[in-house]
Amino acid sequence: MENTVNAATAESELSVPPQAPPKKKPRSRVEKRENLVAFLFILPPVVGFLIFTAISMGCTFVFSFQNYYVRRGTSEFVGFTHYVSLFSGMFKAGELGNAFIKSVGNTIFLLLSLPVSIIFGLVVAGLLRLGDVKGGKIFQILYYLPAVSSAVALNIVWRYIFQSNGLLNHMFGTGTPWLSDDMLLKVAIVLKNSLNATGGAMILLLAGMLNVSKELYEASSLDGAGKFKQFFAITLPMLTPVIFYLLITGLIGGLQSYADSQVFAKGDSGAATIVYFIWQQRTNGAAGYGIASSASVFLSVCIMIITLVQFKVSNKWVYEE
Amino acid sequence: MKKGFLACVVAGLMTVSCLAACGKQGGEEVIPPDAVITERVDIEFWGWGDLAEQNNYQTLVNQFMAEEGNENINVHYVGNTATVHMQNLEGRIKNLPQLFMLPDYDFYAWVADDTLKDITPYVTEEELSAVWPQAVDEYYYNPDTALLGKSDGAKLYGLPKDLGPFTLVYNEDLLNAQIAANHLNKEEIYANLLNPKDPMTWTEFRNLLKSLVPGLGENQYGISHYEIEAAIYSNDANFFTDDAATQKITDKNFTDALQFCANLALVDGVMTPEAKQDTDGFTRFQGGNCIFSFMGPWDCSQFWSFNIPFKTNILPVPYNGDNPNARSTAWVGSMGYCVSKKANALQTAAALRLAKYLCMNENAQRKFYELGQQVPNIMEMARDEYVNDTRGLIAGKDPADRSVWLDTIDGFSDTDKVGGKVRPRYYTYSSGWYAELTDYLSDQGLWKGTKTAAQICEAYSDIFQKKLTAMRKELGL
Repeated sequence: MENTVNAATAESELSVPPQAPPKKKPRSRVEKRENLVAFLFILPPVVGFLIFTAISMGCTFVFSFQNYYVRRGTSEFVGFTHYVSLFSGMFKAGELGNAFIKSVGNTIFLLLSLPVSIIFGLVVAGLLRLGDVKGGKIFQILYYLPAVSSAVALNIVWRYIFQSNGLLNHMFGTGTPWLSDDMLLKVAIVLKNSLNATGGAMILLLAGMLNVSKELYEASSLDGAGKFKQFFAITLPMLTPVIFYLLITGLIGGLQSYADSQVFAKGDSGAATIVYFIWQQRTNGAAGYGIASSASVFLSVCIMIITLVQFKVSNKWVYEE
Repeated sequence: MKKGFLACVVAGLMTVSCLAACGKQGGEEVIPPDAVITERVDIEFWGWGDLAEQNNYQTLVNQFMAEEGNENINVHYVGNTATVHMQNLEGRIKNLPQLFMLPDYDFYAWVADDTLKDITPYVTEEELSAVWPQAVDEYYYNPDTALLGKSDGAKLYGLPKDLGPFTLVYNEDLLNAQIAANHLNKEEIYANLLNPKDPMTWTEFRNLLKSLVPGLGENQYGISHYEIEAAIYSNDANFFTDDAATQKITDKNFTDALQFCANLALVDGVMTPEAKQDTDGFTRFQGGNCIFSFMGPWDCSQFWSFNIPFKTNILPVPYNGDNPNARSTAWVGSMGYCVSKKANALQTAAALRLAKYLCMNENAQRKFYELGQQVPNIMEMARDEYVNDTRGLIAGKDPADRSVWLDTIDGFSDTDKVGGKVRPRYYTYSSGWYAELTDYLSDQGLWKGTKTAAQICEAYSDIFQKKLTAMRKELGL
């Protein structure tokens, strides 16, 4: 009997003639006007994006295949010459390719500050969340101050701290050549950037921690989980979206690092990043613009690939409700 | 009614005089800068310098506009730091300001790329004869041969802002203290070694430094750093041949000069070692932490405005006494006032009038030296008024031996053992190679003693030669 009813229902469902798609309601004048206003509101950033990003990217791509005589206003097509020169002589000091590869190496090394700052931020946020610290707000403000300070000003101050007769060496009675040894210079930048970025990471991670439902902690307590277990089993997994955001933005920002080389390292080749390498090419005549453009294209492609990979991999470790 | 008629006649005469003064140069209208300008003309003038220099320029520009005959010229002055200035200029390449400053080491590229106006018809030989010829000659270029300098067929593309020799400077107070602390003979040192007319040899200089440094503080040194161009030029060496076609960095004189610089720290221990070279050498000197350093006339403004609490004086740069052809030769830098090729006839006339005012006007030049920014461009003023301070405008201000700068500019003669030479970057199409070379020297360990100057230069010579060839190719040479 039941089967008969089901069959009949199915039949009646099948026999229903296919419905025509709902007709689009003509837009009212108010709607049209609202759309126009909305469009006008988004127009400035769209125009800005087109002029300063999309068209610039297109031009950069074209220039990367050209020798561009900026003052003469002329250019000549040179094919992949600039891309080849970016990687030729990679292992011979003094060659362009060597300088570029060094800048790539430096940029990657300086990215170390990203995980360090996230770990620092996590620790500080955890302490503020768990410790119920008196004057916690003051600590939050203090830690966050570098995030709202001028990068150039910070770099100048840090330079004073790290110089041979600076605060750091003075405090410890050492004579560490932080700014004149290539490796120590990079270490100094990683330390500086880690501490500078801790505040920003801390604020976001703390906000993430505050969003974790208390019920989860209560339930786990009943199951006998201690604070340590709770942190790794509940807090950390729930914070993965924030950590993912910090990683993506930090990586993109880190790959475009410039002030570190220009202001902090004062152009020392030991800390020249890819963007600094690009900037340096301006004095290399007609080929300079092409080389700078090809290095920019290379950097953009790298950033895109890394970001895409991160998004792909994120499915495996980022918690989503 | 009569007044109105008179005004019309005067206005008519002024217009006629302006038009009558006009000529044609290669099909282009030429209005001499001294012609009466009756219609309003707006020009932009871009310069570089620190804040004090920018303020000074604004004052001078205002003075210029207030002068009789310039009422119709409206100058919009924009001052920036060196880097921003050059970036902005390149950014505005299609619509350059009518008048702008250009460093001598970028002049070749800009003039060869046909961005600058030929100002030969606007300036007379008589006017130029009052200015240092070494400065004026830097801004001649022959478009047919693509060669720099005054020669047959060469045209003038800029007027010099200044000519600045970069010479040795010493902290007189620290020097005297070290002389006393080390029981040295002060009179003998001043008479024989610190003689503004008789430069020291490298050996004398090294020995002097070695005798002075004992007893200095932990972060104090005999000399902050050494200008490698001064050492190379003062050993009768150069980076390349006169036509900038063939590298000469493997020449013994060149590598000896570099090694001399390095050994001041590595062997003698009298110069700030690389590990401590994290502060600009001149800043270290200004902090009172070095006996010697290098300075140019433009640094005076900093000394004077910050009231540096010690006395300073200058000396010619030391030379290699073991090389019979070597002479004391400091590098000399300059900037030019250049006019955009796209400026129209009236704008060009106004821009050139301003450029001439800044370059040759007595009041302007007086103001510049009074503010410690440069040696006057006007030779007569420099040789008498500036050196002897006949007007008392820089009374009691260091350095006392300003004649060293004049001797450096003036070049060598039978009696004068001191000279100067334009920086090597001036002779090449682009200037990036210099920073790349000095970076390479550092990277390869010249200042750490990892490799010798000869080894490093030998390894770099092929790369450097390729760069020189490429730069000449861009000039069509």
